[in-house]
Amino acid sequence: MLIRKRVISVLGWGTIVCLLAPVLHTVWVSFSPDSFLTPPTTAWSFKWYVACFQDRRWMHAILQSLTVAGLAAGLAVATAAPAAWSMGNLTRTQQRFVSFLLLLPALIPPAALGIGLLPLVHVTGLWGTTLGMVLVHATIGLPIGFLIIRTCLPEQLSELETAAAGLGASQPEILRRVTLPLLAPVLFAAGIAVFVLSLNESLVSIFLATPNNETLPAVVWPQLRYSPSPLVAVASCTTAIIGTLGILIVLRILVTRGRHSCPSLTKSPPSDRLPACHEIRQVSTVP
Amino acid sequence: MKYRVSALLPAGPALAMVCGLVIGPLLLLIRVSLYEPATGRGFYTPGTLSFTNYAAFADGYLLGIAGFTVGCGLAIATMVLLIAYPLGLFLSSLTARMQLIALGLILMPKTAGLLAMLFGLQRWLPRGVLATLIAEVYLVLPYAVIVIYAQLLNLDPTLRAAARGLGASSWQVFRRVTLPLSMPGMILAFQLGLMWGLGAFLGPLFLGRPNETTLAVELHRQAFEYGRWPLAATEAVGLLVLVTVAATGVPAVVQMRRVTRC
Amino acid sequence: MPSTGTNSPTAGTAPSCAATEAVRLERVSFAYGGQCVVNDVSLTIPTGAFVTILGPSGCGKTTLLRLIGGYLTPEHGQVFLQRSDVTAQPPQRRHVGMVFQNYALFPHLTVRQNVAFGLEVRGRAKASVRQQVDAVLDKVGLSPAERDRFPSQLSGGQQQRVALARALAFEPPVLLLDEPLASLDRHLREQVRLELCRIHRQSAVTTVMVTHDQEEALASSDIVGVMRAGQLLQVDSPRELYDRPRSQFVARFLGDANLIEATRLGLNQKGTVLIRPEQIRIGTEHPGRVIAVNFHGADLVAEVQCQDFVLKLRTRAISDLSVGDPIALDLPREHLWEIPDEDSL
Repeated sequence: MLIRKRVISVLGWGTIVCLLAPVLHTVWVSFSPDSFLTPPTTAWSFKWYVACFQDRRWMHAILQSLTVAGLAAGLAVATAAPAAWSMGNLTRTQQRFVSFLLLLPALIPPAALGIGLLPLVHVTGLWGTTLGMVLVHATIGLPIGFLIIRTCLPEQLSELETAAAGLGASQPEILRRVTLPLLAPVLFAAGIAVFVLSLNESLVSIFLATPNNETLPAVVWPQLRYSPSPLVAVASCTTAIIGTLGILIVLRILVTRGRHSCPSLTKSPPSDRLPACHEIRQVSTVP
Repeated sequence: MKYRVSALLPAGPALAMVCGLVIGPLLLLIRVSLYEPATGRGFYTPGTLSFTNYAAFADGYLLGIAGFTVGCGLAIATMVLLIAYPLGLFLSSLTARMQLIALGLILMPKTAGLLAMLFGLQRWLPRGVLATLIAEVYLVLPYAVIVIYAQLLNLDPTLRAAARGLGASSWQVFRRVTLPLSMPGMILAFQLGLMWGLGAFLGPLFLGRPNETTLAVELHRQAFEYGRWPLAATEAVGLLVLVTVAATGVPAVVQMRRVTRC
Repeated sequence: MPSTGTNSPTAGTAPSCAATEAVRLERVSFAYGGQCVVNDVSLTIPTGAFVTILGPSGCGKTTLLRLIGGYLTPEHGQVFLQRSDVTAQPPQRRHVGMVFQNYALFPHLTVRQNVAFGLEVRGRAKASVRQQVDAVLDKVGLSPAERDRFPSQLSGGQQQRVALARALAFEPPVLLLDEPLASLDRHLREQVRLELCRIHRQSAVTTVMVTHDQEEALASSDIVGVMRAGQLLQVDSPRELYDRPRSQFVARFLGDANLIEATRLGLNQKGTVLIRPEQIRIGTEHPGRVIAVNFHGADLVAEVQCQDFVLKLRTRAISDLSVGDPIALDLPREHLWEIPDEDSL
């Protein structure tokens, strides 16, 4: 019994290590003191990091990546949050319709999307602009943002909104005092997730990038393909480090999210879960 | 209960973004695929409407690529499922804290360190079909693990305890309780693996040999190396058709199996 | 269906009988998902009364409460609060305090902030809010040490007090309680019930409580309304309901009931008569045999097979009965209550 557990444990963690291995290798190579792609064993150096941060094109790409990711995360959360929040008020068909459309960007092959966006950005004048990049990244981030917010909506949210209405709070007050504070951690987590995804979004970016608005992956990929150097490893590691921090934050928030909520609220009998929130919204739209 | 269209209003901006930046481009894609190729400057001949590009599918070259794409997709989906399911089981057997750590580690390479991962793989693997497949497995696996893991989390642990209490060995518990109850997750993971596998782009681009390209890589080459947008669009339409078939086809096959078995 | 709910019953024992009405429902109906949850209910609640709506789960009593609070709008009928028609008004404008079954305390706010919520959204001055919050927390008996905690750090009983304080803080004329005792431990229930009665006496707020527990209803209320399948069957004082139920359902739902066809007892009337187990005496009239005995501490409940009917008898535990004993029972005439047999159950 114990031996079998050991074996399973070794196999499981072994697989995970295999998944991590290429990334670790790249990190290792990035500390290489010379321009050969052999991982350093005796002499380590930050030489390529310094080179990367002194290169104008790399820095521009990194800054552009961070800008695009930040704006895209904000836009994706700002649009996905109301959509996820309103799901409870919809009929089954409407729910399916909305979730299908909002998950669609994750299901379309990015290459097909990229080639379709190409004429669109040309026609609309978004070609080579940061705005175009932000819009596209936000759309690609919608599915993950929507999924996170929807699955992590506090269970008792609509009940609490109902209670707030009964205590005399107007709709904006409810939003400000109840809905937003309760959703804040989830929205933040969703934002970080979209941010990380956007930093690594290389597929569509490869199709849409121009020297003016190119994000880091768009600069990295031709070099990665034709002339890999430790410099490329450094650039790759930079996004990996930011991304890993992001993932840690997201997981941390999503796990500790439930800490504040009342234990007694979660075990409400389903039979008495009446149409609560959407009813109020309906009523309160009556002047 | 009165439901209104106005209930959809909060979802409006998000839906508008998807319509404008996903549905719109896809429709545009179909239109572009119907242009005739450019004769002089530009990417296509404006004002034309013909099916000439689709004729390319008839000749062996594109058909071969499409076949290779399908083969790749199936291989990727199968490999992903074979690795993701045991990994999902392993994940769900850990303590809550370790689950979190393992989940983070599984997600990290794909979501945070995509470029670094490709760099590392490129250092190790000689270009070829195998390298392409391995790279794509690295890209698709995290999502498949999450799907299967979520399904296993939903599984009521008392069911397994009950089965044990009824005298089932741990293998029997797995075979008769866990496996059938996690089937929906497996099917979904396979389906998503197939859909993403068909769209394989980064793997073949970085690790495939030039003659081993998928539709996605081919359309990129047509658009950027030769400036043939209509042909690229045609290939994208072909790719979309394949993905749609995968999206609707897999459950249909499963349903058919179920029906015929009864 | 008999429309017993349409008559507008006001109980005789209400404190300030019909002088002023706090709540009036007029022929209110509500359907959810195509199913009629509240069916043509009329009810008048006098100011200052403690009214309990009693019924099995799923009978529509919570919906009725939500209709009063404005959380739902009726499909037909009208809701009046203090004689003004509020049917179309959202909960924000009704100024009705409500304690939700799960308390619905804001998890991101402390006890004080929760209680202050209703006052703050009404734009009260900070100083007066603080004073009022402490006053109402004193009233519900929540110790100062707990007032800056978050709801998740409180026990179920304490959470309940906070929910009550929050509902009372803005001094609403009407207080709604949705199964306030349901999620409490058994031993806490009685204590909290007494607290509720005390608070009701002190603040004289018109209180409408919903429960499925008949003991709770009988013990604490001035008026009890019994609901079944969306209809209000009978509204009366607890004593009236217990002694003179107007339907078999009400008779059975409140306490133990012996319901016997009158003809079987040799009575010269039609229909069904009710006699409560504790009203039956050991005597001579109906000979029979004990078929089951249940010991309840102070009392003993025995089932006795008499000719062609079974009687439940509740007696002091000093009498020693065991299964198989021959016994004869008397049914005192003054305790026999004839049920106007209109509902088919």
